[in-house]
Amino acid sequence: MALAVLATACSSASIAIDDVPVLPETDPGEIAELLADSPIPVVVNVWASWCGPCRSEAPLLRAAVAEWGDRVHFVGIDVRDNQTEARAFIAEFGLDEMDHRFDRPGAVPADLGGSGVPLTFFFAPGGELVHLQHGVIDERTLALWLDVLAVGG
Amino acid sequence: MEFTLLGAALVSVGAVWATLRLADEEERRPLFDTALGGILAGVAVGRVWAMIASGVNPIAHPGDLVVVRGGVDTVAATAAAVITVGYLGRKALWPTLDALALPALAGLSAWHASCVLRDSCLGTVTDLPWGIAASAGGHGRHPVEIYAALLLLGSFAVVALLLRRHRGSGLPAAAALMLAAGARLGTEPLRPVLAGLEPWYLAAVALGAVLVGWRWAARPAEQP
Repeated sequence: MALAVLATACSSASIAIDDVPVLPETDPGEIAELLADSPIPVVVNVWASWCGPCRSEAPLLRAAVAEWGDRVHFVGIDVRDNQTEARAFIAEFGLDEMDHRFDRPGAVPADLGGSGVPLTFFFAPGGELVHLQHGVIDERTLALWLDVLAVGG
Repeated sequence: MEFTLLGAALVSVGAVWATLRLADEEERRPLFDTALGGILAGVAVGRVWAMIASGVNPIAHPGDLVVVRGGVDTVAATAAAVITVGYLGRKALWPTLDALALPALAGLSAWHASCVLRDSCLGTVTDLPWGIAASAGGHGRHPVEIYAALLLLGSFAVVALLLRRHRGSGLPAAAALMLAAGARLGTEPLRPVLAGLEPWYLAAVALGAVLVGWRWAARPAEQP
């Protein structure tokens, strides 16, 4: 076990916080436009650095981006947070491949029809909401809805 | 806790309770200790391993250990549970494993079946008439977790029959391992996953088959 823990420290998915850019601020209008104009499916994950369940699903999201990132646009919406903690979270979990936006008041998820953190929205090309996952998402659910997006239903 | 885990836990507890009721009085305490030890070791090691595999250092984030919902590595949990049960039950290894085979199959079956509570039973796309759409107007999909639950229920019946004639020989436990892994291996291609575990299920089927052959050959000769 000690060796495994040591291996974790040596081969962690973490990156340096300096490699994580400041998250651009966003608002409901910008996200609505992004969804409407997207030619590929979009997964919008609402997270925050202080959110415990977000920590547990972060490694899954990293795996999903690695597997599906060329076919699905993964957007992260960081809510009710601050930039330093948010960037540390992204660095810790190596989530820099996601398209993160900063939404301090949490207006985007409210506009999309969700409340609480975490949330995961699955949108078809053109912005039609296919599924909304309230709370932490597990591998099975994430894989199923990515497959639904991939085959169009 | 996820409903699927809760469903499996409730059925497993019920099955262990039934097993203890059916066991001889002097066997109950060691069986209970062994089952509990296996469960605790499986959950703990599976959780730690899941954290390590996903790049989270358990020492730096000890609080994440209790976030069982965040994931329990199936392979590590199973290995830890089997090793712990083997160690705690070493004085009567095969009878212990046989006694715990049915609760394990019941728990696994319930874990799959309770997908209905979370609306997470569906797998890959199918044209079969019983396919169920994940979203309105979508393609029909295999209710793959129900398939797995039914296969495990069938395995439960087979192992229950084996227990009637071969209790204590290790044959029922070996058959349970082979059948449970086979149920998972057989349904895995119908299940969308991010990282498949087919090699592990295949290895478990092979190990189960070897153990079945061994325990069959070693079973006590039947009285004429």
